[in-house]
Amino acid sequence: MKLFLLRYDRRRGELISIAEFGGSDFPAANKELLRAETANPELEVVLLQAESEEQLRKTHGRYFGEFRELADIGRTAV
Amino acid sequence: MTWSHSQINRLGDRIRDAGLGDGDRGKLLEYRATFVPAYERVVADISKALPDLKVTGRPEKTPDSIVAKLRRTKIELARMQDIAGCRLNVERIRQQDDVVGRLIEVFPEARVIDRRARPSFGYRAVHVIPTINDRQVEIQVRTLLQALWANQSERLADVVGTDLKYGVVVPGDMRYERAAGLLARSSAMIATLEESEMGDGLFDDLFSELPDRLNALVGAFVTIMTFAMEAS
Repeated sequence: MKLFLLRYDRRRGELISIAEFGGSDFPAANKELLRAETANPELEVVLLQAESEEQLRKTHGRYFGEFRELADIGRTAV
Repeated sequence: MTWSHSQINRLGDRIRDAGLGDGDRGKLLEYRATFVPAYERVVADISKALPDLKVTGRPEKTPDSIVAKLRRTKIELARMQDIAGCRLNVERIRQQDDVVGRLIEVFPEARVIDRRARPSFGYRAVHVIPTINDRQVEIQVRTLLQALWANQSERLADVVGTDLKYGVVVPGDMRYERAAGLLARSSAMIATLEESEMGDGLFDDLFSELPDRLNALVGAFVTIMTFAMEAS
């Protein structure tokens, strides 16, 4: 199991960044979570755990959705 | 530090009333961290008992989400069940029932909340909530369609407003009404389909096509919502 720290812009439906930590590196991931929560009050910062990013995409698809891409396609079409 | 329930609830009351000041923010983060051992134990037990399933988790709910829930539900902080949580996706209802049964064997004292029988504003899933060393951990068990609906619901809520997920009606705001209507209809459609599972293979074609169709429908709606918001 690995830990992933995600920074997500809810308003724009956009995943800003994803950082991966080793599964046993909970202290480091948690320290970074606290730092990121404080530094990015406008963003949703969330620490998730999964075997792989692919698994996260299945259970936490909201953070990885095609929402942004769809919006971009829509803008291009107008 | 050992936390008594009254200490936890006093912290929750202050946060509900005054928000996250520097001192209480630190205390909340400290309290939140006390869930990590229970979360790790639950994830380890699930992985051992159900090795074919891939559990994913969120060890620590965001502070803003905790504050929002305190204000929205009036729940006591010590009773909040989803500060730490994990998820299991299964294919269909039958597997969902099987997995919930296995989880109850692993965590015999766990509470079970069946949101299929009583959906929460369209949200359907089964939550199994064991308590480990006085810390609750919420295990969300979802079918693929339930997971898809939940993810799309959250995306819509990101665009239209988080209150959408909790059934808050904003009078005269057509975005809310349309989004809420879309979610209600799609939830009912999924429930009907899932409850109609009558034999292997009978609905395979429909099941295989529905996720793509639902994704496309809600994706298009989110796009329209985005334009509407940016134009306003």
